[in-house]
Amino acid sequence: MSPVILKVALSAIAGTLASTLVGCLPALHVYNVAMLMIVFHEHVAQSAWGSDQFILMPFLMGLIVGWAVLNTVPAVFLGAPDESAMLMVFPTQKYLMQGRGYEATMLSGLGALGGAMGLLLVAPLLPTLLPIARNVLSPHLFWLLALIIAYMVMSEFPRGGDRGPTPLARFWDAWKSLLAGILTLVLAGWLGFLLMRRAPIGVTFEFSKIMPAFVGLFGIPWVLQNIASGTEVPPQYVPRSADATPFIAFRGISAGFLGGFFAAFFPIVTGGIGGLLAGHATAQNDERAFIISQGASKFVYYVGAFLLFFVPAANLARGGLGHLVRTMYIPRTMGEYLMILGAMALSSGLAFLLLGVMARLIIWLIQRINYRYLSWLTLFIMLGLVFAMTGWGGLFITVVSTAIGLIPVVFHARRSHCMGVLLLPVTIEMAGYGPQLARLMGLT
Amino acid sequence: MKGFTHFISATAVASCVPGAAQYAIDHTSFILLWGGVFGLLPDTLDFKFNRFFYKFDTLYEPAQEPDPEEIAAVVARHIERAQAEKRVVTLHLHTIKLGADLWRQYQIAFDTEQQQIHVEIGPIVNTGKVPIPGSEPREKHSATTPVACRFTQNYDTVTTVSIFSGPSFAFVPKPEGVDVQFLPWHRSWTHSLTLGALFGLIAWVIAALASGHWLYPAWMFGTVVTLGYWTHVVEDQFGFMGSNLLFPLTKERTPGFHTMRAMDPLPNFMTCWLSVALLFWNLSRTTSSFPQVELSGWAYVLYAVIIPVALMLFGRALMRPAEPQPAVTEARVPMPSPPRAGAPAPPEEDEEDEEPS
Repeated sequence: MSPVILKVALSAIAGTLASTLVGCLPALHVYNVAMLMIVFHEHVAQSAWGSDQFILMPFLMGLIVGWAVLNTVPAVFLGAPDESAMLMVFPTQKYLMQGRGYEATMLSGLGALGGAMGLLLVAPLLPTLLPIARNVLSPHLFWLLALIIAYMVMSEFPRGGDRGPTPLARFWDAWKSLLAGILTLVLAGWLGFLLMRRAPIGVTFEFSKIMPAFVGLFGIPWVLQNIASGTEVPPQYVPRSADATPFIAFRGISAGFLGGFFAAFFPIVTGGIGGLLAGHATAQNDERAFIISQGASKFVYYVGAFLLFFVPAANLARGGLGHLVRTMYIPRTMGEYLMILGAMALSSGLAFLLLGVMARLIIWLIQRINYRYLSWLTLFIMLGLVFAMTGWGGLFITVVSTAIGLIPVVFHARRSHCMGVLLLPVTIEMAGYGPQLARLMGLT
Repeated sequence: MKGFTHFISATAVASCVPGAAQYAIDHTSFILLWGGVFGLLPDTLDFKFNRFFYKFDTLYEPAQEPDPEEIAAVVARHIERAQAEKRVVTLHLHTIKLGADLWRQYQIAFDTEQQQIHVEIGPIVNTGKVPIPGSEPREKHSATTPVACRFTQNYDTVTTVSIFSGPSFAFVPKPEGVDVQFLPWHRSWTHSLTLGALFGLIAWVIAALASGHWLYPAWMFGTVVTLGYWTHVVEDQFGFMGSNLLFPLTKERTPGFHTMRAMDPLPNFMTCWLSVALLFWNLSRTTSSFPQVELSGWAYVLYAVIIPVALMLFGRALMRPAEPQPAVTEARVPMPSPPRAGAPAPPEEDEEDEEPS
């Protein structure tokens, strides 16, 4: 093995191992850690060891691969998902309550592994297809994003509403949750617009502006719900195999891959939205296929977005990590593309193995510590990290966004409406209405 | 078909309106969005409005410990009543909610050959329709009641009632017997080509008033809206239930072609794929930088349509044997046994357009 390949492999392995801590701590987002790593590399590693920027890339790939795979653990066992895993929590919490948390975790891991294989399969086509897709779709982006918003609103169908003394009473009963969903979307969008125009926190990187809102909208409501409901987790068992046929795995992976890739390619469309669309496109009505698809979607969204950065001639920086790295490094050659693909393949396999280990570890933990205490601890870790990274301003944003994130919880509306925090403001800006709205809101 | 399929295919069809995609870029217009919105509107009208204002003769609430005999009798008596009174009789069956996340499942089978109603009480399921092990009723779990008149049914012979809302039926007296119509409030006037044309006309007039010109671009808005709406109606016709295509000229649903189920993954996914391919092609016509690689229309059809569709069909054929067969496919089948955890459920009361939670 040549020294360069060895260096790349070791760097990817180191990144994946580092992700075990990052991925299993709720609210600690990989982009925040990657940001610290880049700063550390710039100021310490390079001068101390003369380390090449090139070698940081497989490390970052390992980090994001590991995070995309292992972050399922807090989502399943602590009910503390990030935005891209939000849809997964509802079915996986049911698995957890049936003592099948480990199985849910591994199903998601299976999806991630399938996503990695899918990325490797399409990798030879990307240098040809991506520039074409970008040229065709870029001018249409504003209405395509609006299309997603319209679908999110229109596709929520009322639950219940068939009991009541009068038709009007039944109508109102059904529409309560629909209106709550629309309210959530609008409020989240309003918050997002405010944060983009005038965030009350001084930050170096764009992602940090939105991170406190993400924690409040997507993570904290689940944890609060667990605390309030006094959830007691039953004993968990570790099966020898997952209850999924090849057909179900194929359905889940293909759906998740397409949704995740759509999200990776389109700016602002996140893994959660990709997963939502993928589920609907393939008519998912099987929880196993759904969990697998969410695992695949999340993996392809995070890892695929970073991979696109390396596609020769595409010049695409998608996702937070691509934008962070672009400030210090521009890949140019096919060799770099192949190197990062190799790092991804290696890290994916390793991360999948680590997923089983970490899931067993957390099962050991939750069977010894009261789940409610663990939920409180999760809440404090989340708030502590937000405060450490963004200060009082960030904490304030988290509180406000938690209030918005609780609306769909209370009224049984779709939680994905919280994704309006990015979708609405970006669509408005892209359509050219941003300045007018900002003037209207007194933000100029 | 699934809502998403309707939505994306309607958008794709709307993008075929000459000049619409170019107009979207040139005027920062959301014109194509309206195709998608009106492509989903028929179901929105039904599931968010129509169903709540539909009048039922009976709203039946089964007991927490349901009696299958009583349920079967209620259904049978309503069919007989329609025949005796020579009028349409409507019935809505409620679900049996046992807790925040627990429901008692039951199934109703319309046996058109033996002319009887068969009801079976199933297990307790959670909102994900996963049965709670050991929750099946130990005694009196099924009953069969004869119907004293002929009846026909052209939709699913077995209806499963489990979570959220229950099914509705209209019993319509006809010369050949009472016709059992599933979800009478669905796919009625809302799923008609005439309403699509009317919406298009309204959109045309509004766009004309807004732009100050009667022809351009108003005709494009009108056409986009009509085509989007029609796409939904035509796609639904490939299913079982059919639609009332020319309301108010026609009074009843024209039966569907029975070629697919709304929840079938492959037809949904294939339609989505073809829609995206069509949409991409139409959008590519609006950009001059598209031909970075020499790709003719036929080559695009080969690479974006024929090869992927062939792969999907091949993949389905390869994977299908591993998949459990649907519990109920034909008339006169005995009641299916309760599904195992996570297995595909038999047709649900509003499966035609049900969205996953």
